[in-house]
Amino acid sequence: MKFASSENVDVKKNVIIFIIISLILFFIDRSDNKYFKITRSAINDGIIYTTVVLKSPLNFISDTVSSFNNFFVDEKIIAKNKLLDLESEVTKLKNEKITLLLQLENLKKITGEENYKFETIKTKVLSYKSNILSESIIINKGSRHGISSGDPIIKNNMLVGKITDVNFNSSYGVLITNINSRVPVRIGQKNYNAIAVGNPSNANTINLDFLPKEYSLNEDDYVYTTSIDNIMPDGILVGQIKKDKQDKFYLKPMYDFNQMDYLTIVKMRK
Amino acid sequence: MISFVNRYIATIILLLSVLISSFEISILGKPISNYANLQLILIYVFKISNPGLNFGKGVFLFLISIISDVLNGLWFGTSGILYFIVFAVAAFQASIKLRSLFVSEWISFGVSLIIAYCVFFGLEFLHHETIYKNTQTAHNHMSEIVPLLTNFIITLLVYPIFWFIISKLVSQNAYR
Repeated sequence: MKFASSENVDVKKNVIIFIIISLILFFIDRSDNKYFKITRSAINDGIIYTTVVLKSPLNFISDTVSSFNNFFVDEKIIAKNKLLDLESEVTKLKNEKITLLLQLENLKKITGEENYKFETIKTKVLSYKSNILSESIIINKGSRHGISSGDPIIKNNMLVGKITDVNFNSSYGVLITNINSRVPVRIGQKNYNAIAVGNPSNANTINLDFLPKEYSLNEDDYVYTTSIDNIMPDGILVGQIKKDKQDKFYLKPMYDFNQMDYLTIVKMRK
Repeated sequence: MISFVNRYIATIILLLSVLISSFEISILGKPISNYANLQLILIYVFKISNPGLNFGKGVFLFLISIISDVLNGLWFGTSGILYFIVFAVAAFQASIKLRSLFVSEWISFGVSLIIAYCVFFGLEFLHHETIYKNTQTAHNHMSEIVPLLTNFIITLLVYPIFWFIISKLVSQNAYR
């Protein structure tokens, strides 16, 4: 049985103080204050890299357990399966590359766009976090490496997401399937412009907003990024148009979001 | 060493839950954190099962909330507000009880969750207010409530499991 004591009164006071501090922090952070941003970047980097170090023993245990499980499976069978998978993947990629190059050439002829060359940088994914409303990744490159907010995250010329927040040595990014992601895209041979928006009810599909009033899409049409306002480089593959059971079109991302160890950032700042 | 771990077991477990939550274990294609908010359950259960526990007068709880914000890419203070709302309700419930009544504790946990989730939804609304101004994506507004509701219900339903484990096995020696 517990009664109110001086310590309990102290705790209640502290709870109120910490709620007020949290609210103040929230609104300062939201106001995008220049000086607070620097402090925040330093705190973020410190916590992110400390977490990576603290998690390393757990990662080691997890890796050891999985390699221990694999130990009992015949290595030859694993290697053979891997080889077959890789062969089919290479064939698929070769075919896709030919198709894409042709399509890109055609599109550039139609639109007369310049072939932009952007600098890229390889990065490692430190953490992938998913809470109720958003999915985000933390990568090991930041403003010191020339990354800025809005830079596209790609892998094998397929769009994975974009950078939302930059610290000194790390950055946050959202995936294109995230509800907060907005990507200007161009669809199929008819070059319809639209905005690809994450679908909150299905993580594996993307909605298309701001399509023209009258449009006719074809299933399996490719969707590329478009360089309107120079937000994104032109011609990064986003996905393919698919039809659902109610004959409604949606965009299926090309990228397999389970493979997020190493990614590439396209530096948009010249 | 063992007595140190025993004393700070609540803070250590809460910190570990924040750090380990980046190992996303998926169920039906979605990570566990989408279904239940482990941290809120832990804060409530630890406080209710040991009313003397104060997470270092709230300082440890605040520091853990900052770590959680950084790792989740949330604005500073978001987790802190939620953690302290649940902690305050648990502290109130722990101070008024004459005897331990599981159902009343469970109901008050539900109340604290409702308050915390309403605040969270409000903060998220502020965070993404531009989305809601957009008429073409206005349907997202409702579809964001569904995962929040699912998370609320499952968090409430799994509470008894954590209550049993923590109140019966872990929390007896925790002071801070």
